[in-house]
Amino acid sequence: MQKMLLATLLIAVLFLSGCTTQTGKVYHVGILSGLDALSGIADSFKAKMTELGYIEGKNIVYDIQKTNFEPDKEQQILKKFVDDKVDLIFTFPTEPAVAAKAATQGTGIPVVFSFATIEDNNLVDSVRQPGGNITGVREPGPDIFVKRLEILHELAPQAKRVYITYNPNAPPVPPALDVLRKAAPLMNVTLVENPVATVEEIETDLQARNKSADIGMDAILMMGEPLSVSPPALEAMTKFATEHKIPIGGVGSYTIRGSIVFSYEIVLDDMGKLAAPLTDKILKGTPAGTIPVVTPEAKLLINYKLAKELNLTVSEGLLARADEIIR
Amino acid sequence: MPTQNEAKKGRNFRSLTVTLALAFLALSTVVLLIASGLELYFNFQTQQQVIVSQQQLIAQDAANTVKSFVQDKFSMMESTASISSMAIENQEQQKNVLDKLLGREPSFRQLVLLDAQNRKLAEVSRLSQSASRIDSRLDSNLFAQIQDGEKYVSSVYIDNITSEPMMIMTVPVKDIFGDLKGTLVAEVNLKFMWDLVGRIKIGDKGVAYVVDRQGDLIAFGDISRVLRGENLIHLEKVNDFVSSKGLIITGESGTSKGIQGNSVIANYAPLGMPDWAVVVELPVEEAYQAVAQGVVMSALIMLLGIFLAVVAGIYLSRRITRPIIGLRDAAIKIGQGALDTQIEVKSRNEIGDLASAFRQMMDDLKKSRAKLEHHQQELEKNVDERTKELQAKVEELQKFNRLAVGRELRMIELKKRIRELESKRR
Repeated sequence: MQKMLLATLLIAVLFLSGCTTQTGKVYHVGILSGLDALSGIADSFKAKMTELGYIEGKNIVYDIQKTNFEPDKEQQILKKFVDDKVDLIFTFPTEPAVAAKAATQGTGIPVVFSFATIEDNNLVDSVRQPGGNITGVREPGPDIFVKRLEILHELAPQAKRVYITYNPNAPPVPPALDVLRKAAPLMNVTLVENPVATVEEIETDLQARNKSADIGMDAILMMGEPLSVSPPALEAMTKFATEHKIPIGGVGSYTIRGSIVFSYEIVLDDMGKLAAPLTDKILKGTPAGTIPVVTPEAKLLINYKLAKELNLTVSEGLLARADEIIR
Repeated sequence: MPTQNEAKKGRNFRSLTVTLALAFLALSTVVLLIASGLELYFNFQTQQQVIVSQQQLIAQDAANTVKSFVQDKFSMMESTASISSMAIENQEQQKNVLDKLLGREPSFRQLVLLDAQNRKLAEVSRLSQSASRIDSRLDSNLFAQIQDGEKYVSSVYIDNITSEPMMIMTVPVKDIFGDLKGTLVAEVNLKFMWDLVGRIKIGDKGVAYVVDRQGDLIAFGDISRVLRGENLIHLEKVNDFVSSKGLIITGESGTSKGIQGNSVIANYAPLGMPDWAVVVELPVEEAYQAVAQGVVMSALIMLLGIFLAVVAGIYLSRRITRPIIGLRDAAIKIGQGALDTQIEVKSRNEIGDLASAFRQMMDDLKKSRAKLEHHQQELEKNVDERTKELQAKVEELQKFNRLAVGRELRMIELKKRIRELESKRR
């Protein structure tokens, strides 16, 4: 009888112990933020990861490194990530993503990018099948540049000369220029292009225009590439625009929303949030290259206050379409 | 007790206690097994029916959720078409109205207003003018569909740039007299349905997804699967939907392979318009959790039952065999002559009777033995008496004998004297 009891107990114990198995894997994720203005992406990424069950310090450890448009430093950080054998690299925007793809070649370390242009840079094979060991959240594509020009044109139809300054080598720029140059004439708009290599060149160009009788532009369209959205460049451009009472807009909703008339871009939070489920899938074993690239939605911000100050007529339709209005 | 031990060591000896206990155990186990088995079977049957009907309800509910997504868009478009009197307004006002509609609903990517001759009156888009690809969709095929002034939903197509599923929805624009004046066309981005579908709760680990008539996945919580443009016709339920024409929901609910490759209980509900179906899946383990719990419960109860049966079997068989053992031991002692052995059996049954009979037998045995002894004593007494009598007689005889002999001797002496005397005389 005692044997019987013992056997029953033993079965019960075995049964219970089977229910409490747990893997103690702690993931190491290297995060490389390539632009200070975008560093918020890392926070929303981590927040969403927590929602998905990755508790920092418990089953995931982040190594967060920040650079500000410094390719050499990016390389060093990426090399360190590879040497540390991190489980995954999360990086943004395009430049470090491209660098990460190269740095992880053959190492088996998957890369999740965010805020990256996928046109003209071989970052991924296709949206559906990124290939290699990489996937992520893309920028919406060059069409958004044209849309920004259209919105600017809608806000200020009288502005025929639109100034754009950019680093011609920045990844989003060449495909954007392609479509912009085609679209501008249809709107009867001339693009005043100023390709630069440094922020100083922007400042110099604007100072030169300041001194001349005609500034040579009626509006500024911001290109949303790293160089021209760096704080000193932004400051120079917004200052110039304010002084000459010309509209400036395009991007900047998370940095200089008070100084721009509009922005049409991805909400920073979404860029991190959308990357987290991809990361989750990869950590759970899905090869990164088979996970389709996610496209976020752009949001329209209208600075109605500034538009009024500039005597622009903001159509009811445009206001109706805006996701956010500053009054 | 040497005899008992010898008996136990006998090769063919089998304790009655063990036999009885085993018989009892076997009997109870069989009964328990049959009872539990039947209970499990009926439990399973009921549970299966419950699961099927539950699944149908859930599928229908999920279908309604998805359908309401589409209906919402329709009603928005219809309201816009009727309230704003779009049929008569000028182009700028029409564009304004479209702008407002676009601003209201994020899933509308492009909106186009067509006149009765299908010419474009106004257009708004989240994309730039040059990228607006809806034009290629506004072809004779679409016009043929919207000719009759009814609502229309196109089949799903994939956007080249984003790989997201899109569709065209149209509503007729009528004037106050109800005459057809044009058509409001919307390109709807179905990714805004993903969240909705992803949030549909199917049990704990169940999932819901939407497929179109071709079996292409158009909404699922895991957006990567949708973006990859997967066709799910290899899944049983999806195949059922694709191959069925009507709107009948299947009743049976066997297990099949699910979207995540696991075994699931799946069911689907067709939407009708648009021509999609919502498939709901519940992992088999979860669906039959209640049954599994029932099995575990039954097993535990059965174990307990068997345990009790063992205890009861041993107790009962002991109760039955103890008096028999008592009788046996008593019989052995009696056999050895101990007639005063007490038989401690008080059962009021056949064995009790047997014990009483045994006692009776012993009483009788004692009595007959006493009688025998009495007879013996009597006999001995008689023999004694007779012996004494005989002795007396012998003594008397001896006395007589002695007397006789004395006389004889005197006679002899006398005779001798006579002779002497005679001789003397001579």
